[in-house]
Amino acid sequence: MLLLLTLACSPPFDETRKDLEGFRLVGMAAEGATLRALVWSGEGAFHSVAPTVEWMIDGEPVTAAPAAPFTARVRVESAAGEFEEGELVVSEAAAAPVVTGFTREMAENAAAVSVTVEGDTTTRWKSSRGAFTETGPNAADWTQAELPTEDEPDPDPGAPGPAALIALTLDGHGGNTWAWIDVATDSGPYLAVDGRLLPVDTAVPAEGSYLATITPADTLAGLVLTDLVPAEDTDTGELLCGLDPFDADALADGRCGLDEASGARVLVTGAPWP
Amino acid sequence: MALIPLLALQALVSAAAAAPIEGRVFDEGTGLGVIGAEVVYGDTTVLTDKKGSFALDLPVGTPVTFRTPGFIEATFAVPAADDWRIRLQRDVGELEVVVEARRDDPVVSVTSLDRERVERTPGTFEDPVRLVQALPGVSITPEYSPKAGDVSIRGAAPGENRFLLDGIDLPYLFHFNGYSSVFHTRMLDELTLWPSTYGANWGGATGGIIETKSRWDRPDGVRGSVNLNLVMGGAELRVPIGDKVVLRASGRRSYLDAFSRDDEQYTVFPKFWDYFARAEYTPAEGRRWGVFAFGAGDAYTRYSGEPTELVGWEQETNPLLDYDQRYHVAGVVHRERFGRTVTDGVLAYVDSSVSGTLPTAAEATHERSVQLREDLVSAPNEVVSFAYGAEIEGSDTRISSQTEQAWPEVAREASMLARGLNVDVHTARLTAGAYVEGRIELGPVRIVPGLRGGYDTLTGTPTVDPRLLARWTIGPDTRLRVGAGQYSQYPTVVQVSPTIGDPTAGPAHAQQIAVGFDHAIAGRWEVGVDGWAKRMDGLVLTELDGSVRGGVTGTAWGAELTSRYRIRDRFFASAGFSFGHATRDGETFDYDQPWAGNLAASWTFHPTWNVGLRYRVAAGLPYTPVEDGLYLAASDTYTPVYGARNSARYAAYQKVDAHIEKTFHTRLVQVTAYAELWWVPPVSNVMYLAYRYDYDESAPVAGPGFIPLVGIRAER
Repeated sequence: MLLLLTLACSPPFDETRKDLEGFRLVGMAAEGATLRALVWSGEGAFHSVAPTVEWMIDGEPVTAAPAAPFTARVRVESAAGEFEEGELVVSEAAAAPVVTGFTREMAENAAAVSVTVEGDTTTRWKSSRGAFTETGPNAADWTQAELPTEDEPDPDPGAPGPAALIALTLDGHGGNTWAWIDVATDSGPYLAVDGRLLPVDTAVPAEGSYLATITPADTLAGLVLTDLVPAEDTDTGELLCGLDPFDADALADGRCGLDEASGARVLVTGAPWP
Repeated sequence: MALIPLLALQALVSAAAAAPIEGRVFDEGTGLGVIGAEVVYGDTTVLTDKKGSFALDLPVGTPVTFRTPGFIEATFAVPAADDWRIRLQRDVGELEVVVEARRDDPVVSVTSLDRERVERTPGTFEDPVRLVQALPGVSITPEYSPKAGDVSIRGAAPGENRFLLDGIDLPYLFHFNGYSSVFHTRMLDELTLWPSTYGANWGGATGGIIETKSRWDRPDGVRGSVNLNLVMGGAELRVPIGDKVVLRASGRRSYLDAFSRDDEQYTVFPKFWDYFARAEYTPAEGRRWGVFAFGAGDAYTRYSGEPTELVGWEQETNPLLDYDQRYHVAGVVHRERFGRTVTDGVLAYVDSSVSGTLPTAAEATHERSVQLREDLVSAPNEVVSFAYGAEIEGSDTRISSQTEQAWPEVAREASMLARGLNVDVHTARLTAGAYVEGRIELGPVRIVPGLRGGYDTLTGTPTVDPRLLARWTIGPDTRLRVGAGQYSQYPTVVQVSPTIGDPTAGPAHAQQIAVGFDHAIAGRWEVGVDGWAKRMDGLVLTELDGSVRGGVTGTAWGAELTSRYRIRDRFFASAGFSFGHATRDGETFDYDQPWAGNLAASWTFHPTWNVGLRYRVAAGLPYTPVEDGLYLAASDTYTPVYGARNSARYAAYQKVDAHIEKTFHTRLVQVTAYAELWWVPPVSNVMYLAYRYDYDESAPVAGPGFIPLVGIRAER
């Protein structure tokens, strides 16, 4: 009888906090005086139009973080009117983690990922598809297929392709940071820009800086980098959304919409993938 | 029983010659033979066969006693004929399977259950206390829901009622989620519910009183029983020593933890136990003394986080919560008679604790108390009697909680850890109450004025509660009851503790009124109607975030209709329907149930077979809907954003219980095998709502819809 009770408690939802699906506030952080919100659009690892982000402290709008401790609230709203609210409580003990590196070891339809972080932190992993098994405080195994369950012991292995992964690192006191560590189980081609995997129309021959055009496309990243040419030392590319230098992460986390980036000729530094 | 003439007769015939005689024992009501009845003469006992027949070889006139459970014991002398037909009368009091029975002594609405009457009632799993929610005025909560086992009586929250065993406050009434009561049911003699407007003898509660009394029967030899079902096992023993001493003991323990470990939710399956022991000395009729000890405990270890959502390293680091709740009671109880004055008293030491422990955090509440209660009833003449008494409790409570963070996922067991509180509070307290009550008989009218006073060192506030009850016996089968009064309750130590509770909370008061009408038709069909209302202030409310707020007001009103019908002693049916409404600070009360109905029937179609059926239907309990989720960035979790308190309601609850049992008689023991099952229609089967991680979606979580339970009970 008691066993039946426990069975009755099983959550009935397919979507978990690790799944990047609909419009969602994924993370909040204060990096110095800069307040940052990580927003997943629900469209992919891009935003057609950047969401509005409004920060409040004690009910008053703010644009910068005060000294800790403080409690800030944010409201993010998509162009379609979807919104979410979040609260960031930063205590005096908070020490914003710094990600000094990451690993991404691909296997067949799977990957082992980790972030290297200074301090005592825990990393929460989220992805646009597939499933995670945490293997340590800041490491996880990702599989393209969902994890087997009693109801579905042989889950669909999934189709080859890219997946957007977010490593959200928390110190437990309000010190947060995150990193994108995309993976791909197809042959691309992609340009690996830090943790992002940006699709390119032609594989690049080697690691380096390139000038490329952001071309909207039906991809996970919402774009394809086209017309890649090796950049000269004097090339700067266009600056987008007020960000200097160009930050590929900004296209994914909502700081910059594709409507502003489309057609821009930007300077990117990356390596060929795979 | 005419024992002395029979003994004389035996002496007269002792020299007569023995002669064979065959006989048969019949059920006077059904005309069927009684199987397994004991036929006792001297030191010898034989049992009737499957036709109820027996054979003896005894002198004419020898007294022979016939007895079997469910029938009135009878002694007859051996006749001169060679064919002897014995007709035994059913003992209605034992076999009657009822949901409830009204007690005649008070003037207020009161309902009593006795063990033997409800043991066969479907849905009780042999536990009369589980039937409390079938009583008029008690909210029906779905089995195994978060509120399962909560007893809300006439608009009073569970903490506003008192649960007593032999006059001692029980820290809690039910084992794990209402599975069973905290004492062996074979130790239980009677359970009485005083839902509201009771006399001045009861206080310390703005809600109702559930008074359980243990058995004081004197067995005619060593008696006991063993019972087993799929969840737990237990035994009880009663041993008479001489004419004046009885030793009584019982114990039970669940054993699922021995077989089921480490499932998705629990690493140690819930386990519970209880015991009861008493040495009784009865020097004379109406006088008795007892030294007792009893206790109970519940414990389990579960994952604090939702294990099905965690895999790998997350699962390994999902902290385990050890939950443990227990109490032990020891003391002395007595009853004395001085002329026309009877005094009942109890002195008990109670040690109770509840704790929730995580690897890096822990909370515990440990209370030790001494409870003293003495009640005297004096009847100087037939017109006026007086009842007066006092109860005093001295307690020492230690509340501690140490944590570096909030653990909302353990809110059910450890509310302080859930709120992230760090406290270490040590509180001594003395609470006292005294009452005097007059009982005046003026022909068909009984008037009971009473006054009760109280004082508590923690709040420093005295209480004075006047009460007035009256009953008019209109005819032999009809009576009218009215009652009104004030009822006060002091807050608990936790409720007024700084940090945890509201230190400004004072005593709560309830002004109550009730009117009742009872009528019996042809001695077999009883109907009753009760109407009641309450106005409350100074209540203590636990908010959705776990914080505590005093000074809350409340209202409640309702009506209860009850009906019972009996065809001889073989068939019994009862029906009850209640409706009402209760609020707190203008919002719907947590246990508000606008309507509820109960139907039960039991049929003993053969002396050894019984079947029963029960149907319950009730409006769903209210709940506070979650309108949204707020993302908490520091922990990457969400917290619910609630709508108006109790502004939504679950679907109506229905449940069907069926019971069948068969009794086997052997020479040594009587064995009863029983089976019960329940069925909850899917449309009514909502225990609670589960929410997606971000509270954007919800889905009802259904309880077990169909559960069979089999068990066996052997007794002598």
